[in-house]
This record gives sequence, structure tokens and C-alpha cells, in this order.
Amino acid sequence: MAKFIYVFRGGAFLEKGLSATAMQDHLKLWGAWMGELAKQGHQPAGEAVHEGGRTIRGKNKVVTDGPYAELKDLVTGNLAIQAASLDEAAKLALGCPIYIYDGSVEVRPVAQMG
Amino acid sequence: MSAESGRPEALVASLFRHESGRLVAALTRLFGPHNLQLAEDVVQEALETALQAWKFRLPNNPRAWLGKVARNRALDVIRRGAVERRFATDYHEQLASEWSLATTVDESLAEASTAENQLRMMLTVCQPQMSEETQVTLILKFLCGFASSEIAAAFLCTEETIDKRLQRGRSVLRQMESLAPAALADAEDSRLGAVLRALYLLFNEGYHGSHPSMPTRVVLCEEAMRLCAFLTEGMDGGAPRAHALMALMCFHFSRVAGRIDSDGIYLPLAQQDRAVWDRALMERGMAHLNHSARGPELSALHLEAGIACQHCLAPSLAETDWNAILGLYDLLYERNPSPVIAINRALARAYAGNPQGALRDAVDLAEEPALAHYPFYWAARGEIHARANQREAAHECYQRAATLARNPAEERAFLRNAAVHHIQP
Repeated sequence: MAKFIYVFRGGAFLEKGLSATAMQDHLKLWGAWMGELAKQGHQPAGEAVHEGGRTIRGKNKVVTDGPYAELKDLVTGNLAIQAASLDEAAKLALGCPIYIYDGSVEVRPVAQMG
Repeated sequence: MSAESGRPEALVASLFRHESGRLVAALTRLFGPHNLQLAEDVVQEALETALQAWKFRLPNNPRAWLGKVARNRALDVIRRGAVERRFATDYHEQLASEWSLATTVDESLAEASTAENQLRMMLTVCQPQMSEETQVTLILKFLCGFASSEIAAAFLCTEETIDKRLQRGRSVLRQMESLAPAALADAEDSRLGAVLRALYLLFNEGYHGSHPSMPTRVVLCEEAMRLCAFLTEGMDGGAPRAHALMALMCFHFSRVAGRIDSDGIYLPLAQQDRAVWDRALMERGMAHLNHSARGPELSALHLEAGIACQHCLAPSLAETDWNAILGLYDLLYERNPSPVIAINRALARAYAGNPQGALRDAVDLAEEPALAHYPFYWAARGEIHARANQREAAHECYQRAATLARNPAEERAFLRNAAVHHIQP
């Protein structure tokens, strides 16, 4: 098993004005996906992030308010999982409900430190 | 996801909707109905924050988590608006002073204030100058957390119609600077009557609704019962009429499982499997019926609950105390001589052993314009003809009921009865 990181961008959080029912239904899908990952031993561990923040950039360490991504490219969380291969990690990411609200998942292998 | 089990904890059913209703009422109490939109915005933001934060795991206490987010946001909004905005007239001073602000907000959002907040919100949105449909729409929107599209689907009308009702309701609420007080003058208070009528309508729409594909919409019944509990619990001991409505809903809802067969066809009372009726809910109904009997009041709701109670108590259709039911219908008709009550009374008379008398009543009622297109009039009349051994007339009445049916479940039930009484030439 190797460690992979999912980087989530966009998704339901950026969709304003969803009904309470729609929000709860969507969270149920996340719960089901997370539960399935855990059940199959992929040990998901992640953190969601809120809107806003700061970006520090360049030699002069310029601090700006907020991430400057297009809204749909805004990072909305990341999740570490264990999988046998990049192929498997990518396949597991297909079950994520983020695509319903036009979000994306970037699957990256974590560098092994020996 | 809990760390121990590695399994995600399930969200309590309808948590988002119910928390939306709870928080909107708590904040409207502070902001005032004229700032309802502001309260809605704060709550929507809190729910959206939860949607993002709870993706990977739920907090230990989701309701408390949401309450805290709404609280902090409300404090921001109040501090920023302190100068130019007027909040609820009965809270304006407490909110204007930093000394009392946080405790006032905490108190309104506290679990202990929930019943009172929701009661006051219901009294507020049931204003006499609004139609009953508008009142029910506002209840579904602000107390039950439904979106316009969801209300439209429940009432089988367009989203535009619902939005218009909401607009009308909002324009009335914008004129009000504090929630209606919870203390009712007395049990006869007409404001309570308006809320009870709205909840009764909501329940009925769920129980005998006109929806073509879903003859019973359990969620509407459940919402009416959930909100009625705020009346029976939130007031001093609850008004007798609120207990009577609760009893009525418990009795009806206890029988919901037996009403429709596996093909989606309504079963007549005679064919319902009484074993699937919900005994625990009947017991709850009995307790509320007992509470409703305190005081001298005998409302139409008491009588209707009494009738529903008799049906629940009976071990079978034949062993039903039809004379007791007939007596209750007589009293009900005395208070409210409506043709719908009259046809139900006639049916009870037929079951109580007087089909000829019942038939005379039913035929007389045929002139009533309110009944001409009412499918249950023709079905009841069909049953009365059958009891009087007039099978061909029974067949014809059931056929007529079927042509007036509002959904396939009704239609097929009437046609099935029509077939039973059809005499082969």
C-alpha cells in the first residue's frame, strides 16, 4: 500500500442557495463514499477548508488576501488515502460526489521517504 | 466518522431542514420579522459552512455545531448593523448593548427556547389577512425548511405560485417588528385557531392529498405532528384544542400503513389489516385525547378526534361502535352543518344499522354543489346503496366516484368497489 493525496477543487460549497434537503442529501453521499473507503481499509483522513485565506508569494513575500484561483479551481479540501497503486487511487476517486456540483479531484502520489 | 469504529455517523433525518426552521425562528425573534431575510441569510450561511466542513466527518454534536456558527455570525451581523438597523422592538436594547448582547443571543438560540420560538414563529406567520394557503406555505418555508420547488411539488402547483404566496407573506411580515407573543389570551384565542387550522390543512394534504402519483405524503403528516408538538409542549400545559388536533393526527397516522395495498390501491376500512396499525402511536393519541378533555371546551377537533379514536379502538369494522360515531357526527354537524360532514354522518348511520335513513340523507345531499364533484360523496353514497342492498345503484355511484378521482390510487379503489357491486346481466 502507498499513500495518495486527493486535492478537491470546487464542488457543492461554492453552489450558493442550495435547499436544506439538497445539502443534506449531498452530505449523505459524502458520508457513504467516506464510509466505503474506510470499510475497504483505505484509511481516509482529510480536512475541509473554508473560503478565504491568505496567499504569500515571491521573493518579496507579498501577502494577499484570499486564494486567487478561479472559483471552480478553489481548493475545498484534501484527503489522504492508502491504495495499492495510482490506478486504484484514481478509480476510488470516481466514487466521490464532488462531480455532481462540477468539482474536481486531483490524485497525487505522496513522495516516499524510504 | 468516529475514530473508534471507522464508520461514518449517520446524519439525523431532516437535520438540515429542521435546524433551518429552529434557527430561523430563533434569529427572527431577535432580528424581528421585518428582518426575516437577514435571519434566513445567516442560517443559509451556517448550513453552507456545515456542508463544506462535514464532508469528511460529522462533528460530535451537529446541532450544537450549527447553533454556534449561527450564533457567531449573528453577533457579527448585529454588531455591524447596530447603528443603522432596527432589530426586534422587544430586543433592541439588549442587542444594542455589548453588555447584554451575547447572553441575549445565546438565550434565544438555546435548546430550551426552541419550542417557544417555533410557537411564536407559527403564530406570526398565521396572520388573519393571509389566506390559509399562504399560511401553510410560510410554515413549510420558514418552520420546516423546504425550498419553493419542494413546496410546489408537495402541493402540485408551480414554483411561481409558491413564490407569489411567499412574496405576499413576506410583505405582511415586513410590517412586523417583533414575533407574536407566545402567551395566548385564552384557549379560545383565534390566533391559536389559525395555527391549528394551518397544521390541520398540512396534515390533510399529506394524508388525503391530491397528488397524482403519491397518495400519501408521509413527510407532510410528520411535519404537522412535529410542529403541533411545539403547541402541546410549548404552551402552559398546551391548549385543549392543540391536544385534540394532536390526538386526531396520531389516530389517523397510526393507520397510515394499512391504508394502501401493495399495488398502491386504497383499501376500504373493512379490508384494512388492523394488525399493521401503529399501537404506540394510538396510545400517544389516547394520552393527547385525555389532555384535550381538560377544561370545558368541546371543539370540532375534539369531536373529530373522538371519531378517529372509535375507529382505532374497534377490533373490526363490524365491532365498531357506530352509534357512538353517529352521535359524534351529530354534534359535529350541529356546530358546522357542512355537506361533507353530512355525508360522513349518513355513512355512519348506514353502518349503525339504518341504511334506509342514510340513503334518504345521501340522496338529499346530491343537490349540494360542494358534493357534486367530490369523489368521496359518490363513494360514500355507493357504500350506503350497497348496505341498502341496491347493488346496481352502488355500482353506478362507485363508477361516478372513479371518474372524479384525483389520483390513480383513488380511482382504482373506486373501480374495484364498482366491480364488486356490478351485477352481471
